[in-house]
Amino acid sequence: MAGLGRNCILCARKSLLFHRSVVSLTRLQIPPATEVVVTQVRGTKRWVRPYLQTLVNRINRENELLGPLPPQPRSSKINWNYESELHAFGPRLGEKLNLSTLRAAFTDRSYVEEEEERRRELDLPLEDVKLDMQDNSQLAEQGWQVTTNYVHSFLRAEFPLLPDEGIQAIHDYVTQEDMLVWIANHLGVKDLIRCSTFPIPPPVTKQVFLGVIGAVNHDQGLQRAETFVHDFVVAQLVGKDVNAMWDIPNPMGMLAEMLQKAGKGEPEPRVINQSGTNTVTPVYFVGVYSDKELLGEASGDTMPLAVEEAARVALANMFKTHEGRKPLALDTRLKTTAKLADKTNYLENQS
Amino acid sequence: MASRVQQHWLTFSRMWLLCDARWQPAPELAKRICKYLEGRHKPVYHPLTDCGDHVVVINTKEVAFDKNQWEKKLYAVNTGYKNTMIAMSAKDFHRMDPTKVVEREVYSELPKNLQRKNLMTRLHLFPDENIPDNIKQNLVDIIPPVMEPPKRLDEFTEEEKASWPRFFIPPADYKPSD
Amino acid sequence: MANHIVGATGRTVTSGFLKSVLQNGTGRYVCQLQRITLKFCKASVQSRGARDYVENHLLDFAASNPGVVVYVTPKPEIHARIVAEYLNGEIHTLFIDKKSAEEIQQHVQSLVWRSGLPLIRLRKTQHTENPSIQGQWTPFTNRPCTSTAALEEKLKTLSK
Repeated sequence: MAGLGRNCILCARKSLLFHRSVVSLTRLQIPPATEVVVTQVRGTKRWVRPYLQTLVNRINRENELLGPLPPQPRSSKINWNYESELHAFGPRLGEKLNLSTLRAAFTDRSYVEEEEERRRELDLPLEDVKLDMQDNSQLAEQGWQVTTNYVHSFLRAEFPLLPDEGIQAIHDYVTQEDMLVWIANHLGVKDLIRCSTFPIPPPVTKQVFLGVIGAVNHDQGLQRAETFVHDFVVAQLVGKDVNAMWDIPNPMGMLAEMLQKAGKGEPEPRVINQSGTNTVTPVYFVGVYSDKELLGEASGDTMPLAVEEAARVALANMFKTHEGRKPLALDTRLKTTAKLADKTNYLENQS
Repeated sequence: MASRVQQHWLTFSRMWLLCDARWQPAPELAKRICKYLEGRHKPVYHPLTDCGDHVVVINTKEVAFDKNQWEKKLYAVNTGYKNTMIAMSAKDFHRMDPTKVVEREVYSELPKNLQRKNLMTRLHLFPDENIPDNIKQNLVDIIPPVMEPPKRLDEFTEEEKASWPRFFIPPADYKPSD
Repeated sequence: MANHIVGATGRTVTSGFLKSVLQNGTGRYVCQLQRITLKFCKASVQSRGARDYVENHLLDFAASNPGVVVYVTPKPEIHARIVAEYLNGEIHTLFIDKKSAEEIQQHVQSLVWRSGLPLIRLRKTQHTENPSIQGQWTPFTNRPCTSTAALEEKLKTLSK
């Protein structure tokens, strides 16, 4: 209670005390200064606590009516220096980046247009209205090229037996908008974006992040950019289930096709175990065989589901994306496309 | 790997186990049944995890007690009316309902907490060998017996009887003296 | 345990498992401390250590941590404090009243080393997303193939 005034400095909402109805409330309490009688009262001021309590209740009631505060950009705070923040961005990620490139990477097209519009409103001459400011569209395109190429080559080296659709599905998962925005926000990109709207829309954040990758490519070369993608984008595959990313529509048909190509017999699902078949929680444990060889086994609460799941497991075993596979080579520092291509060629020659 | 959902479903799926109570000592049998009811035989067991199995017990009318426990052991029985709590000997109790002795033994053997009645619902007791078909279809495995039930003399075949080791073979005209 | 919180017993603090922000360290290590703000009073005795730190140590800190943005805001009659902002959006405030410059230096260093996640009681000192390579246990694991036959045989004898 006693610290109410101090709270007002810290908390934006409590400052309502000073400029809303509370002020009028306090005004009512103070009598007009026509006649000043000074009386000194000693002892406990018993009116203080109920008075402050009334104020707090009033603030709370107003808060309920108004709802939560809208989000504010970090740059609206006093302790904010864009140049310093920009300066710290490169060293934080261990990259030596040119400040002008970086500034371009963080500038969205909408920001440039907004600035020009503002100048036009000021009735400046037309040649001064046009800003010589770069936006991130070119850098983002470069960054996207680097990212997609590297992720593709990395996945191809890691899963040599997986078909192209599977590789594409994993690639799409890693480079989806939500994922890139998540990564960007955890690298401190969020506060530095120059955009006309706030909160910043996710597509803008994604483009800025790709622009940062493009900036690394522009300033430090392709190899550093690929390392950047490796460390921050591909690393998100750790602990994820690769098989869940690719939704095969008809796994049993695909398995039959694969086996036919390999010159093996038709896949044959068989119930290995089952329990509680006459209850509401049954479990069927199904194995898929081909030429009396177990390809994969899985379970389900109905027979068709279990068969489909077993076919998926059999496919995962064939593609070497099964559970007991080697972990991703994230720590072996196979970080350039050239090295990955070497590995892919080596594996192809082996097989 | 199967999907995580299916994996989880499989790991915590309930097994239906068959247990033959024929000539098994009731307290030891109850201990063994409790282990499976609670799921203590599983490596994923945790006291807060509901991972117990169903147990189907048959032949409960042929359950055994040692020494003079049938007379000595008493069960508290309440008929439902006021002041009618009586102590009934195991023999009488068993005669009243042949599944009750096993049920009581298992109930007293289970941990004394709120899960006890839930666990008891997974115990299916049948006095003889007849199991309903809907339960028979669920069965997966057999619980190993506490002790092998001894064989009666009339269950031995003639060959086994003939090949049984003997101290001496009496002559055909042998007549034991009085 | 890995974390030491004063007075942290079983039920007084939230508990959880080890986490990393953005798989940090899988590729390269990124210092999670984004910016640090020192607030202190220019005149009060309690902020003397903070002033000493700003005069003697802060430049060294800024030079050795180029990825951390440092703000210094003197304010009259304020409790001296460090406000640390992390990459995951968390903000930690540390009050440094009556602390000497060396103590403040140690506190700042500990802020640099932190991940920004809230301090919780760790239930285990290790954590993995993939608990088993050989596969999770199931009721059918290592089940002998003869057991189904034994059950069928038993059921046959019952039906006789």
